[in-house]
Amino acid sequence: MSGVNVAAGKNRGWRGQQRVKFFARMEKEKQLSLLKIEAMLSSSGTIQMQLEGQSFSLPKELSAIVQEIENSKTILSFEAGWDAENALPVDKEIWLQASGFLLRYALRVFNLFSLALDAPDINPCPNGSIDLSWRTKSARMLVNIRKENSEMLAFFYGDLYGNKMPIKGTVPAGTVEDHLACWMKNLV
Amino acid sequence: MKNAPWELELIPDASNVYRLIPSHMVKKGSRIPAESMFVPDADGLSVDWDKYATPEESLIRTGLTFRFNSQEFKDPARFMVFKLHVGQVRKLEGVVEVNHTPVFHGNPPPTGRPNNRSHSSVTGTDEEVRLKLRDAAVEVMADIVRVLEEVKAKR
Repeated sequence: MSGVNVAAGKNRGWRGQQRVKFFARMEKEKQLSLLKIEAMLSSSGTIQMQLEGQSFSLPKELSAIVQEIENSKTILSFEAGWDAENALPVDKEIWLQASGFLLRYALRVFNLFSLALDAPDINPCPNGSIDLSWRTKSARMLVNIRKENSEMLAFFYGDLYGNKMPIKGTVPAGTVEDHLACWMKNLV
Repeated sequence: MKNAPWELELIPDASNVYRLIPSHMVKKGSRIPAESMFVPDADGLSVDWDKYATPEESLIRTGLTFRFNSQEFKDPARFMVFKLHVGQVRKLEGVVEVNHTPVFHGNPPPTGRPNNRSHSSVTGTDEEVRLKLRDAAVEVMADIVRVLEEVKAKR
């Protein structure tokens, strides 16, 4: 939200608030139009995905995840207060990190086990972070991507329902940890 | 916020609390809320205690509340009500408490900021708790026609 101070509308009249909202919306639309996501199916049957400088070569079995990422782009158009309370807008950097995290783990699980992760729900949180949420036949997991002390982190919890085989912790969002990838094979 | 004229009470395990969630954050076709709607703010996760609120009363109060940073009222038709059993919530590892935290702005309250004797807070929610709250939440049907009529009459 560079250059726009939504909170500045707080002490203005109705017109002032509408003006602030208008410029916030324009700023968001500008951000969205600058966002480069390109996914295409190559002749070798893999999906080539560009995510603002990050390149991913994915098997076609992960197309549902690519589609979910594409769909989740709308999160970036949510304005401050999107939950009718005081929710923060989601920053593009968080969205890119969450998308990259999902693609890296999906790829690692596929490479290790030849299994395609189910596509999670990708949801914005009122504090400006992003949730990745899975419910499969045998497991459930929640991963929250957020910035803490200038580091992008993934906080996670998962189990096989009924608290069986739980996994909980925090990892840097930009890396792939094999212990987590191994557990995530349950999310298929 | 002014001092509430109500005693703070202990919420028994047998009680339920209601959480209002914007409809667009409920997965289409499933009537299951997103875990992101259980992210607390600085004071915890806001809920209404069923001792002092029905689902309809919670929605009416929402319809009398201004949207964030605005002079526009919230639209109660855009919310769904979910019920959580207090005893079940307290058993979740990580939950610190479910406390009665009534909200009082004055008598009469200012426009757009209604008092709420039923207001309560769930504190200590992390990813594990949010995931489990989502699975424990049960949708409660409310008489939305009555809600809209009462909101219209009270605004």
